[in-house]
Amino acid sequence: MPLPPQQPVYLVDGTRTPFDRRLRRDSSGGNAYTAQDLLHIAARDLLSRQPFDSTKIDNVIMASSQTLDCSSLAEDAARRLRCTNALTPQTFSGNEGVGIQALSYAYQAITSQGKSLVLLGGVEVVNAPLISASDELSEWFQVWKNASSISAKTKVFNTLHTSYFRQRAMPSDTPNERYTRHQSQAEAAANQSQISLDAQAEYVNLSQRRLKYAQRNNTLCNIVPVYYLDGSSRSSDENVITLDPESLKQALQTNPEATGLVTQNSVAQATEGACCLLLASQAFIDEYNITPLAQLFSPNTSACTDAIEASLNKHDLTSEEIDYWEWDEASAAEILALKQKPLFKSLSSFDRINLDGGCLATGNPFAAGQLRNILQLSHTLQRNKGEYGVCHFGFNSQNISTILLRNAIGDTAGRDT
Amino acid sequence: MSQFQHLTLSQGAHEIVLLRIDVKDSPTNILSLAVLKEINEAVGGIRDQGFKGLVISSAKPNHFIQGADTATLLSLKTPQAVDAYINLGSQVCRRIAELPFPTVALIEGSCLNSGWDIALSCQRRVASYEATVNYDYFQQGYYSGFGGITRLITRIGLRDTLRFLSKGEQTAEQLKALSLVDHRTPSYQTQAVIDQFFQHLRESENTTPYVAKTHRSNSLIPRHLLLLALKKQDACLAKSPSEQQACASIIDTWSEYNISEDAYLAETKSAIKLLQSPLTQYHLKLTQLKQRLNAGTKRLDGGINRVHIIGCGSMGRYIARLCAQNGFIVTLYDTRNSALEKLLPELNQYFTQQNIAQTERQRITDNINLSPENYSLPHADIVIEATPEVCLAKASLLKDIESSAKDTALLLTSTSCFPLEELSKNMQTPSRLALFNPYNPCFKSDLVEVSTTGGNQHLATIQSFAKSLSLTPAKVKSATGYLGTRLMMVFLTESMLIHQARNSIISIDKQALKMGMCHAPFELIDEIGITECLRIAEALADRRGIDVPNILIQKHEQGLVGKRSGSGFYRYKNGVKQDGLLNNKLTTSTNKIKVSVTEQRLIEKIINEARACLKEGIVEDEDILDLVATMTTGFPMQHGGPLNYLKALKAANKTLTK
Repeated sequence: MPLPPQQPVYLVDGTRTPFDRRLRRDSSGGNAYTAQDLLHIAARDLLSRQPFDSTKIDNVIMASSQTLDCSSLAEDAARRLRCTNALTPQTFSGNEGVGIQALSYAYQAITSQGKSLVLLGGVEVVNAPLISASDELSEWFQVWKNASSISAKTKVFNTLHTSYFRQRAMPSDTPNERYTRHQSQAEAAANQSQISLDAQAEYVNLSQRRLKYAQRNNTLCNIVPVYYLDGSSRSSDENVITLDPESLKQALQTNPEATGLVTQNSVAQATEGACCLLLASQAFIDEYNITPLAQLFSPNTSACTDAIEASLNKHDLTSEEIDYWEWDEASAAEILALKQKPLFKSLSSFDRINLDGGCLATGNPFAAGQLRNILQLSHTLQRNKGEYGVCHFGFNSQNISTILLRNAIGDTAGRDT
Repeated sequence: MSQFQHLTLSQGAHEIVLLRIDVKDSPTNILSLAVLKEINEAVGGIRDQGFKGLVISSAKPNHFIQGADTATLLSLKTPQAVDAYINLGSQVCRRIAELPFPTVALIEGSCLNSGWDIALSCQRRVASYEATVNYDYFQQGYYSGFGGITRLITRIGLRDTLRFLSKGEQTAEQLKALSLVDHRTPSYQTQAVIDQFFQHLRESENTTPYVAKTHRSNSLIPRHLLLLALKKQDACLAKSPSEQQACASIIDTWSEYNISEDAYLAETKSAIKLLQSPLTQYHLKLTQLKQRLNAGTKRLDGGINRVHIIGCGSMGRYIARLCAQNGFIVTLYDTRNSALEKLLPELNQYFTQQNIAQTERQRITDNINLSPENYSLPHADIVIEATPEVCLAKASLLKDIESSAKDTALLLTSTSCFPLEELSKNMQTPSRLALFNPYNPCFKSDLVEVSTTGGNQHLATIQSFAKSLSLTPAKVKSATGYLGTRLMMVFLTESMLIHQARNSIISIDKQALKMGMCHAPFELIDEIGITECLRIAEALADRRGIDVPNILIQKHEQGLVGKRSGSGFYRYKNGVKQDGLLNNKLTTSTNKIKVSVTEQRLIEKIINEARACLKEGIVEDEDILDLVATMTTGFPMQHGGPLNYLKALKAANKTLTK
């Protein structure tokens, strides 16, 4: 089927850190990892897998939904990776759609600005104060307060230790930021499309089950372990839903929030993580004789709800011709609402959607999660010998994006048509 | 003003004399006898000329004054020559210190040893941000004797002086914190700071010399208290026998003369004595030997910067850290995640011990990629195999490495006991494999054994790689145990055999240290690891017909690992040896062997093995053999190595038998 002629853009490779609510966690004797550190860990590993070094990178584009301390993400990444000084790194920040914005910019950099290799990254960390009152500090303060004489206060003062002021990552049981942001949106989708609690519970279970299956069978690709100063490491995604299927169903049904349809477990929880992708032009692929993961087509961002249709029409494809889908699991209700659309009538079940679980099960670091979806879809296409795949991001009516991927290996003989 | 060969004297603004040292035909300002004579003459000449100040600086980029180099010190063959050199240096510093106008030393870049003595003899010191000071004479068991030590004690007290000397290289920031430099500025502002300083003096019409405040610990009562405290602690302050020698000399001089005028004279006399001591002479020869080994070797270039290390044991981690420190991009691969997890805590501990700045820590850590997957192998420029000493496993792994690595990649193994021919037997091109076996982390040394069957060009590349890592390459012949391991195992095996003859482990260790060995044998086994020792012993036993001591097998069968696990021959808590042995029933004995018997057996074995190595051509140079033997077996430094000792015995017409 003929596709519109354009400068092809390829996804060469990608890596990501595990997604975890406390990925930057404190280590003895050192501070928590910063967003820059997480990005560097992912990018460093990505480059070590390539036959070329960092001097070949033409541009570094980084994204994070946060604005605090993330303004120089790209500059910092370029410096730490020892890229050439001629680069003009770009950082996108400030909203939840930065991942796809950065991807669009990277795409344009190759198709319009003549760049041949672009490092694209996304990272999210949970905001934490630089110095927080630790339990030890609170305890110490109480003892100091209770000391009656000057000599007693001096003695207590001598026990004050600098480690009490360490930078700390947010503990896992603090209120779910993502949930508070998306609750109303999910409620609206559930009401509008009449999504039941049962259906939501079933979908959350599906996502959780798929993640566990993928973890057992090592189909979650290119996860770079994060090592800590205390001699521990994190090498797989945190399963943010700790309840077993039955308990989860019960929890969803018996503990509804005020509006009664959406609970914390049916909305993706905020986690920390980083993901990096390498995008390259055809010339670069030919020069290094690289086998890319996938070919990317122009990202399509639309204000209307039929962004997928628009994207498919643009490339003269139908939904039946798309082998696999990766939908941003912002909430179970929104996924189920999207599935009810006439466009997906041919899809009887979720057997082509989010095969390896999604953000409901792993949590969602926005910018990193979006790039992770693209990376995971490209691996799904390769693994299952599919030809086309579509990533869909955002359910907010103001900002919906899709991107079409094509398996670049070309061996799609096993494609299920 | 008169013309000199190694310095220029000129008059600057405000009647200030500028003395710029620029030693002819040398990249650094080495204080040879001729240079000292010129400085002496120059300083003597300006004394009564009515100048308002003196600035001593260097014309060499990134260097101030380097002090006397090893060649200069070794060229002082007679006691008279040593005497003349040190007295002249002392006179120069005294003349600078006694100038009747303000004097300033402008330190830009590195300042070493007696260069620091000259800087200290100035009344003020201005350092650029990049300036560093290193007084490494102290680590080698002596000091220059130019009066710098007494001046240091006057300013910062004895305790801080000893800490300063034993710390190694110190930055301008650290010197400022100790009040040893008056101003710390960016390089482009140093001249402005000096101008401002003299202008200020001129405006205040103060041209009298500045007298530094004497540290309070030099007064009578604190002095005696400090002396008592230091006598208990001097062993802690000094890390090695050489440092202990220098440390004891400094404390003795201070306790007798404090910071009086006689102290300067006593310092000079002590320095003359120390410089001629066997320990110092050994260190000087060792330094010269390292310089010889490094001569003509260039650092690697040509875009070689990706290193892939397979095996994250202590050797793998050490090489990874060294590569990262020297700018290589390293991937450390191991299938055991638990091994990879050890790197960051170890690195952090190293950073803390070495007081490494935060930016440097980040730079080093950024260069290391820990990977439980072997993706980087096909793209690496240098591949280093650093897995445990199991011959078949190594040979099989090296075959796989060869098939996956780039054709141009340098393939290295860090084996310490298997010959290259045996490891490369499955490879398509066996000559691609080379030995790269650093003596660190077991022995704190920058020496690395290198060997190849691939010709001179191949050897030169490996030597360049060693140089790039700031290591000194020692070429050895490919053979079982090579050089270091072979000598070390003879020492350890003999110690275990002495023990098996029902002699106490503790007494053997004590006797070894008493006879001047640097290592206690059983502590060394715990340090290396019982499993590693057994593997090496078995490899040597199979190939060289040496017995494997039963005690080693028994310890291994008991599941004891050594210092790392907290139990070996001794018990350890947080890496610190505890009193008493782990298993008294198994390892102690009531018999107490005579020191002379232990000494005779150990020394004889080491000497015989060293002679055998030389005969078999494992190493061509006797000096290298002596150096390696001293390092790996802890052979008494004052003997200068087994072969040197044998020569001395022969010359004195003595034998080992007592």
